[in-house]
Amino acid sequence: MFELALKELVARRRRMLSTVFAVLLGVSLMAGTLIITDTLMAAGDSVMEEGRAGIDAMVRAHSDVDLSFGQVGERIDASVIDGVRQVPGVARAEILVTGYAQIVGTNGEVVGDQEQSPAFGFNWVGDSSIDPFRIAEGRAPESDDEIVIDRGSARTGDVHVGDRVTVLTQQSPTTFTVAGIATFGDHDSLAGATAVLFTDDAAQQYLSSPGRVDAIAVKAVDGVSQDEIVERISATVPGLEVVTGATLIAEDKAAFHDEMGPFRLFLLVFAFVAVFVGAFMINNTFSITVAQRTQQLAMVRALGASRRQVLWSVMAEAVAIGIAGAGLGLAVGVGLAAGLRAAFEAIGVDLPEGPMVILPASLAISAGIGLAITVLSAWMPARRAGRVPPVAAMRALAVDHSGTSRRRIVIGAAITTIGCATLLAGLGGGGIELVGLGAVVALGGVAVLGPVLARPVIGAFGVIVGRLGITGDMSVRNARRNAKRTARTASSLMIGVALVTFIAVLAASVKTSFSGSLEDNFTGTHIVESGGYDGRGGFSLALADEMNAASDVQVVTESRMAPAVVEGSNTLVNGFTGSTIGQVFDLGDVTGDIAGLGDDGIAVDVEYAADHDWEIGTPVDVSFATGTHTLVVEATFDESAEWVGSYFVDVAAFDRYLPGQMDFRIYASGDDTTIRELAKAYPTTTPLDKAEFLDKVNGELDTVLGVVYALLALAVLIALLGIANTLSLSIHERTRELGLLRAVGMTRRQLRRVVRGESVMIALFGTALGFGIGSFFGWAVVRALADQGFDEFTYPIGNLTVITSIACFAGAVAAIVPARRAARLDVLDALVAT
Amino acid sequence: MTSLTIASEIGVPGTATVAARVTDAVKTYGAADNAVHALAGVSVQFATGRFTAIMGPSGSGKSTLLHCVAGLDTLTSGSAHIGETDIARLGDRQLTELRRDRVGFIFQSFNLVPTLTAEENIVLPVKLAGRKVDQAWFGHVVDTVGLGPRLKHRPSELSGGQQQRVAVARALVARPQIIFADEPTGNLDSHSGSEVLSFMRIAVREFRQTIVMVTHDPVAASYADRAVFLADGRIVADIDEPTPDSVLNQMRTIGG
Repeated sequence: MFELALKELVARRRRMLSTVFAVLLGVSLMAGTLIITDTLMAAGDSVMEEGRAGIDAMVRAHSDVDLSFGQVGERIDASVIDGVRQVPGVARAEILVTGYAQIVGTNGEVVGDQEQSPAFGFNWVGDSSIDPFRIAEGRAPESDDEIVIDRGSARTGDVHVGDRVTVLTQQSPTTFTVAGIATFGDHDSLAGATAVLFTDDAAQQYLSSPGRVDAIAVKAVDGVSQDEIVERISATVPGLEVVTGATLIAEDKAAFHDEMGPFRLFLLVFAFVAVFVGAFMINNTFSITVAQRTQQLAMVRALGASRRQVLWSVMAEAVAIGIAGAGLGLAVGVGLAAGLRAAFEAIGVDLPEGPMVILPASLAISAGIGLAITVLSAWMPARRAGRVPPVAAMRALAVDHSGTSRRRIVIGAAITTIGCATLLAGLGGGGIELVGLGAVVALGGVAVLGPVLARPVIGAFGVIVGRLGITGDMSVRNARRNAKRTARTASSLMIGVALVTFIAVLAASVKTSFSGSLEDNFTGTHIVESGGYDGRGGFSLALADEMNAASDVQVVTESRMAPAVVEGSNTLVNGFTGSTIGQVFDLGDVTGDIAGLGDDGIAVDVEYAADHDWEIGTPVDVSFATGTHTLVVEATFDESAEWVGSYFVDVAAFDRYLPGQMDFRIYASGDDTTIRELAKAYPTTTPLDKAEFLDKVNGELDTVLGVVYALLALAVLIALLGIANTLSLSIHERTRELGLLRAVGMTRRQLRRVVRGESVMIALFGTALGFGIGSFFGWAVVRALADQGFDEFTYPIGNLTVITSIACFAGAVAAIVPARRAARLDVLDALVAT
Repeated sequence: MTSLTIASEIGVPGTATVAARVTDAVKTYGAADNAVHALAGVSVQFATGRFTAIMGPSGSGKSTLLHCVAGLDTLTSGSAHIGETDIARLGDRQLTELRRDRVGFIFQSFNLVPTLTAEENIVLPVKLAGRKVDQAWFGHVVDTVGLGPRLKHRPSELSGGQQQRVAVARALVARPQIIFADEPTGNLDSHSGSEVLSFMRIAVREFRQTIVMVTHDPVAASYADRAVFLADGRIVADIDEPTPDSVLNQMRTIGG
C-alpha cells in the first residue's frame, strides 16, 4: 500500500508541489523566527556573561520592581565600599555607576536609536577583571571632563580620540573630550547599546548624584566561593542586597530574553497564521484528490485492501508531503534568518554580534509543527478514503458532493457562536488568550458554514457577473457546482482577509479616536517628544526649567513614566506637573486639588476609582524601584484618561522617590519658535505641534501596519496557491467537459475567461466571508477598547475597497497558470480523456 | 490515385455543392520506423443535404477521418475542406470559430456540459458566438426532437436518449454547414438509438442538413443515404441507400 501511496505522489507531483510549498512557507517562517531570535539571545547571553565574568558578588539596593535595561533604580551610598573592602576574602571592590548618557555625534545627530537600544553611561572602573571595558585607542578618562566611548558608537558617530562631543544626561547637555575608545571584551559595543564612560566623580554627577552609586562589585580571593563571599558581605551591609555573580548573569540574561520575547512572539504569530492557512489548503487538496480517486480506491478495496490500508496509504502521502515541506522549510528558514539579520544590519539596526545559533529544539519544533499540521489536515480526507466501499468501483466517478446538510448548518452555526462568545468573553476581561482562541474557533465555524453559504453568496455575485455573458455565467456555475470545494478553497483566503480587515478596521478606529481625542482633550499647543519609552531614556529636566524661564511659553507640563508595582501588579506610573496639567488636558469634572497633589498624592479617573474602590483619602501602596511608598488619592477626574492614564502622580513624587528619572514628554502652550529653539539644544527631543504630533503617531502606526500587512500577505499568498491548486485539480477532473466546450466552439480566450472567472468568484467569496468576520473582530475589539478612549468605530471604506480589488485581482492572477493549462488542452485528447 | 477514390468521387453524381471533402488524406502516428497509417490516402466528398455513414472495423481509420474533416485533428498530408475553407490553413482561433459557426458535433457520450440545462446546452454555440438565438427556429428544433418539457433539466436528470437528443438539437440550432456524429447511438439502447437516428434523418430530409456519421452498427448506417467503408486507412467501398443487409454484406467482405 505504501508503494501505491508513493507512486500516487510521484504521478501527481506537480499538483502536490504547491502543498509542499504551503508547508514550507509556514515552517520556514517559524524556523527563521526561532533561529534569528535564538541567535540574538545567544549573542546577548555571551555579552552578558562577559560583562559579569569577573564579578563574584554585587552589593545593591533591594527592589520590588523588576527593572529592564536603562530603567532607573534605587542607589546606595558610595561609602558602603569601605566596609565591604574590610570583609575577609574580598580581593577587590569597585563602585559601579549606571545611568543615561546619550552621545551626540560630530554631525550633531544623536548616536544610536534609543527607541531600539539603551544609551548607557557608566563609571570607568579600569579593572578588566571586574569590568570588561578595555581601552582600544587613547587612554582612560583622567579628569571629569573626559570620557571614553564604545567603539561601535565611535564608528557610527564618526567620533575620534581628542574630539569634543556633547553628551546628554539628566543634567543640561555638556561637552566632553573623548580621551579614549573602548571595546566591551571583544565586542565593539554592549549588545548594540551605546556607552559613555566617565570618571567616578563625573559618573556620580551626571548619572546619579554625588555620593550615590548603583552597586559595588566584588572580586573574591581565590578559594572563596561566590556563595561564601556573598554570605560574608551580607552580614556587614544590613538593608542592602548582595547577590552572586552567577545570579547577576542569570538576571541579565532573563531581562534580555524578556526584551526579545515580544519580537519573537510577533513573528511567531504570523508563522502560525501561515501554518493555519496552509492547513486549510492541505486539507482541501487531499479532499479533492481523494474524491477524484474514488474509483481507484474502490478498486483497491475490491482487490482486498482493508479500510485501514487505504487510510494509511493516504496518510503516508501526507507524511511524505509533510517531511518534504518541513525539510525544505527548515533549509529556507535558516536562509531566512541569515537574510533577516543582513537586512536588519543593512537598515542600521545594531544587532549583537555572534555566530548563527541553530538549536536542534527550534528545528524540531518548526518541523514537528509543519509535519503535524500536514498529517492532521489530511486525516479527515484519509478517513473518507478508507470509507470508500468496494462497490464504488462500479459506479460513475463520484466527485465529493455539496454539503448543505442541516447538520452542517447547525454545527457550523454552533461553532461560530461559541467562537464569537469566547472572543467577546475574552474582550470583556477574560484575557487575550480567550480572544485568540475565540477568533480561531469563530473562523473554524465560518469555514464549516462555508459550503452552505457558497451557493447563495456566489449566486448573488452571479446576478452581477452573469451579465458578462455566457463565460461569466459559466464561471459562476462552476464556482457553485461543488460548494464544499469552493468553500474550502476560499477558507484560506477568508482567514487572511479577515485578519487584514480586522487590522484595517482597528487601525482606522484607533486613528479616528486618537485624532478626535487629541482635538477634544489636548488643549496645549506643543508636545516635546523624546525617543524614550517605558521609563527609559528621555531628556534632561533642565529643558523644562529653560522653558519655564522663557517668557513666551505660557504652560509647561512635564511628563515622566516609570515601572512600578501598584496593588500587586506591574504597571507604568505616569507623573505630571500637577499645577499645569489641567491647562494642557481637559480633565473634565475634577474633585479635589490636582495642583496640590504634592509628592504623596494620586489623581485617579472616576471609573477606575469606582472599579477599584478608591476614593479621596484612600491610601495606595506604590512600589517604585527605590522602595514602596504609601500615596493617598487626593483628586479624581473624568476625562483624558487615554492621555494621562487611569491615575497619575505629580512629578514631585518622582523627584522624591525616583530622582534621576528624566522627562519623557513635555506638553506645552507657547510660541512655536521659542519652543523649537529651546528643544534644539537637546537632540533627542522632537518638538511637535498638534498636527505634527498626529502625523507622527499615525506615521508610526502606518509603519507597524505596513509590517503587519506584509506578513499577512504571506497568508494571502498561500491562499492564492490554494486557489490555483483547486483550479488545477478541477480542470484535470473536467478535462472531457473542456474538450467538449472547445469542440463546440469555445475559443481559448473564452475558456481562460471562464477559469479566471471561477477563480475570481472563489476569491470574492473568501473575501466576503473574511470581511464579515474581520469587521466583527474589529468592531468587538474597538468596543472593548472604548474605556481606554478608543471610542470611535471607523470603517475604512477606502482601504477595504482596495483590499477587495486586490483580492479580485489576486484571484485572477491565481488563475493564470491553470487557465493557460486548460486553454492549451488538445481538444481531441481532452475529449477522449477518462 | 486508386480507382476506389475515383469511384467515391463519382459516387455523388448530380450534387450541386460539396459541404466537406478530403483529398489524399494521410494521417500517420509515430516515427518513421514504426509508423502507423491511420489514413493512407483517402479522398472523399460529402455533399450538402446528404446523410453519410462512415463504416469500418475498429482501427480502420473512420474516427480519424471524421476528426480530421471536422478540424479536431490535423492531417499528416493531403487537404481537408469545410465548404471552400482549407482547414489546414486555419489557426486555433479560426478553427474554433469554424467549429462554432459552421460545424455541429454529436459525440458518443459526454455531449453536454453538466452545469448547463438542456436549453442552455442547445444554445451554447450560439451564445459562445455572442449571437441572438433564433427563437422560432429553436422552438421548431426542440419540437422536432421532442424535448419541450425537458428543457429546464440538467443533463444528470436526463436519460441517455434524451441527452443525445439534446446533442442533436444543439447541432441543429446553429444551422451549421455540416454535422459530424461520432457513434451517436453507441451508448444507447436500440429504441432510444432509433429515435435519435430518426431525428437525424428528419434533419437531413426536412432541414436540408448535412450529416456525416461514424458508426459500426449496420442498422444505424441504414438510416443514411450513403455508406462509405474504410479498412486499413483506405476507402474500400461506397454504397448508396444502404440497408442493414447490404451493409452487413459489405462488412463481411471487408472482414474476410
